[in-house]
Amino acid sequence: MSDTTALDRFLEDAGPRALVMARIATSDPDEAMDIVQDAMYNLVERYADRPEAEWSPLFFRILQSRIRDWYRRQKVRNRWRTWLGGAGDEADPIQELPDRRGDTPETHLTQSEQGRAIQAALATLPLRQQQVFMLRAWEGLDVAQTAAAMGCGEGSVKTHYFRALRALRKRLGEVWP
Amino acid sequence: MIPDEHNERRLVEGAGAALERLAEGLEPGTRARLDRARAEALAGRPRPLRPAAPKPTPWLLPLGGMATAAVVILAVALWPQPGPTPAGPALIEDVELLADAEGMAFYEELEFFLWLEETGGAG
Repeated sequence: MSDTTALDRFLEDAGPRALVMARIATSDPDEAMDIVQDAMYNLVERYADRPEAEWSPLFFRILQSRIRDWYRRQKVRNRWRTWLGGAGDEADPIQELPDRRGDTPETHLTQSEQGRAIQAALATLPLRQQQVFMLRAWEGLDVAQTAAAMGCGEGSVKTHYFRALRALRKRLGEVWP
Repeated sequence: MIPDEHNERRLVEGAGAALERLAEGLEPGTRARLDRARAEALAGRPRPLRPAAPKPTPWLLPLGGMATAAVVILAVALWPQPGPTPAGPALIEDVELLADAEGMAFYEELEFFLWLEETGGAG
């Protein structure tokens, strides 16, 4: 391990943001915490010796990979539950999760309401759009870093980002006109 | 409609700031869990959650393969014909995903899920 103090600082800084991302993706605080914890362990175990500048894209790549893995498992489980329980058609598990925030964008919002509004709006996006928006707009990764973090091409990042922006503008236009 | 640059910047900056406040405003208990997870990861301690499934001893490997095959055969045999059936590779992927430690937990909870389904999730 090269520089534990620097890595500690990095994780202290990135951890809460990673947790918010995972919470938005899963709508489950416990699952989100497990995912972030897993990403932390992976970064420390596998990439602690890498240059500090690489930690952010690496950490968020691990995080996004864990989120996608969780999402895939949920999808599989839903498919089997549907089959075993005889329920209706397969549905997107993210879209199926209850929106615990229960609010819609309004003109005069407090800061915490803005937070809830963006959280709720992001939760309605398809997972890839959600991921790309948070990595680009919040984490500040460039297109190439985002592509690396998401395990997809740069063209795909641009497409998802554009679609995310369009969807968010539609939903949050009154919050940030 | 293509969002213009000014509006796009407002949205991105506003959303980024709102998300940042969410991260800064995490509950103290959650922060403490994050700090603990970070310290444990850096100390190289074993993971307290989601432990990796123990590797089976070599002589047990064929048993694992046989168990997976048995689940696949059972699933194919019991699959209701008129309903939607996943393609072969998807089925095998499903079984691999579900046949790990977490998958076992799912089966254990199955009764609960079925009950939930029957009662419409009312609570």
